[in-house]
This record gives sequence, C-alpha cells and structure tokens, in this order.
Amino acid sequence: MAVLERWDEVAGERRPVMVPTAPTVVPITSAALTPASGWIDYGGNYAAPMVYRQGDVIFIEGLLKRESTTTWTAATAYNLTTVPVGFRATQAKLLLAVYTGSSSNAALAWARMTVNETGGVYAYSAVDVSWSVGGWISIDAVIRAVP
Amino acid sequence: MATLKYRSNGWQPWGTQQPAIILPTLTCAITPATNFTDFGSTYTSPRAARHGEAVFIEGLLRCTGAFSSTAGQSVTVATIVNPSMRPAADVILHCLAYTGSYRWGRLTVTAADGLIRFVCPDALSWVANYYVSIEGAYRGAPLGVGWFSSGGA
Repeated sequence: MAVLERWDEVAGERRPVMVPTAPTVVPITSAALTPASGWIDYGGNYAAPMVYRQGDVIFIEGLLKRESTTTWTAATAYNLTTVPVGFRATQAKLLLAVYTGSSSNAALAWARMTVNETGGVYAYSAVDVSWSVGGWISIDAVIRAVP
Repeated sequence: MATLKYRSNGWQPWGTQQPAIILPTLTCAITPATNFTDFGSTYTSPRAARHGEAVFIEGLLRCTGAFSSTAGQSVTVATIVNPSMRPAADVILHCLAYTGSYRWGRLTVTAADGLIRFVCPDALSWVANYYVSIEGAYRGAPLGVGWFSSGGA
C-alpha cells in the first residue's frame, strides 16, 4: 500500500507527494484438477483442467467432456472436480457455468456452479439434462481467495 | 516504482512511469438494498475488492421478504458505496438467482451511483430466503484520493 513519505512545494503551496512502495512480485502457482467420474478433459485448444493462484486471485480453468451418458435432475448438485488445498477460497462462491448436454451449440444452456470452501466444484442445472457422450461443461472462473 | 502527485483532480502519475499495481488488495463492503441481506453461512459476504484496475464484486444476497418483479423489471439489490470500487462505465454482467428455481439474468452496475441491479427476463415472485449471486468483475473507476486515503466506505 502506498504511503505518504514527503511533501512538495508547488507555487508556494505545500502538497503531499505519494510514493507507493515497490510493487510486490507475486508468483503464480498451479495444480492439476482431476475431473469427477464420467468426465474427462475436452482437449484440443481448450484449457486443461487446472487451477492457478496469484496472491488472492484464483483462476479455475477447464472444459470437461462427458465420456458416458447420464441424466441430471434439475436443482441437484453434481460434482465436477475438487480444488486442492491451497487453491480454495475461504467462502463459497455461486457462479454460472455454460454447458451443452448433446455437444451441440443448439443445446447451449447455463447452470449454477458452486465452488465451495472445501474445494468441491458442483453444477446444478435449472432443468433436467440428458447427457450424451461429448457433451461438455466449462468450469472457467476467476474468484478471490479471501475476504 | 512510480510516483503519484497530488493535483487538483486527485492523485495522478508523476513523470514517465505509470503507477504499478499496488498490493495488497483494497476491499470494502457492499451494502444490500431493501429486501436483501447477506446470505451468511459459508457463502461469500457482499464486498468489492480492487486489484489494480480490476474490481471484483462478490456475495450472495438473501431475500428478506415477499415482493414481486415483472419480466424485465430492474430490481436494486445492493449499492457499492466506495466510489473507487465502482466501474469506469456502466457494466452488464451475467447473474444467477434462485426464486423457487434457478434464474438467469443480467446484473447492471452503474458507475455514477454504484447501484447493483438485477434484471430477469421472467416475472418473479420473491419470498424470504430466495437469493441472488452478485459475483463478477470489471474495470474500475479511475483511482482517486479515496483509493489511497480511506480503505473503503
């Protein structure tokens, strides 16, 4: 945080001069995310399931693809992955996720995505979903770690 | 390292260097509007946090009483009191809410007054414990004296 360190004279008027402390170099750390059962990394040019942390900012990345058929019931929690210790926020976040159950963009939809304080990443669809092989859901999100 | 100088329009860069991103983050509370309060429990409390030019808003707001909103109606859910945490220009974000079922809508954050408003394409009947999530990020307003001097409203 910047601190007041000195004063300056401007046309005879005394004004404070703000001198910030040197910027802090904050390293980025990362960890792989393991997709939950039934999900795999989509691959291609899409981000692999990973989590990054720089200071208080956490980047969750990944496009998960269904490798088997399944059905979701609306408003029910389905685990997608788990964020490891060191990359978790101290409070739960309610976010939005984009998905398509059929791999077709014509079936694009949104779901609630919760990233909770114990690392669980869960999706809750607004409607029942019949997942086909190749359906996908994005877990991309940027959140803050601490209050 | 960069130096800021106090001028008639607040703290401004001095010399050729631009101000570096200053850590740690500045945070301040976001005030829930009438009919809403902090959801509590393990969920994120309503607050704004600034990392350099980027501002994060976060929180889960719980409805405190019954009211209705028509399709497309703008419902004020909170206010960002600290001007340094408001956007550089009005922004529209995606928004998740729950009113008996999950709802998608837009979240508008206005630069002039810091109001956070939810607009849903559906008519909604709100009752206690329904909720709206105000998670998002945008480019913050130009830094002013308040950024350095107050630490948040």
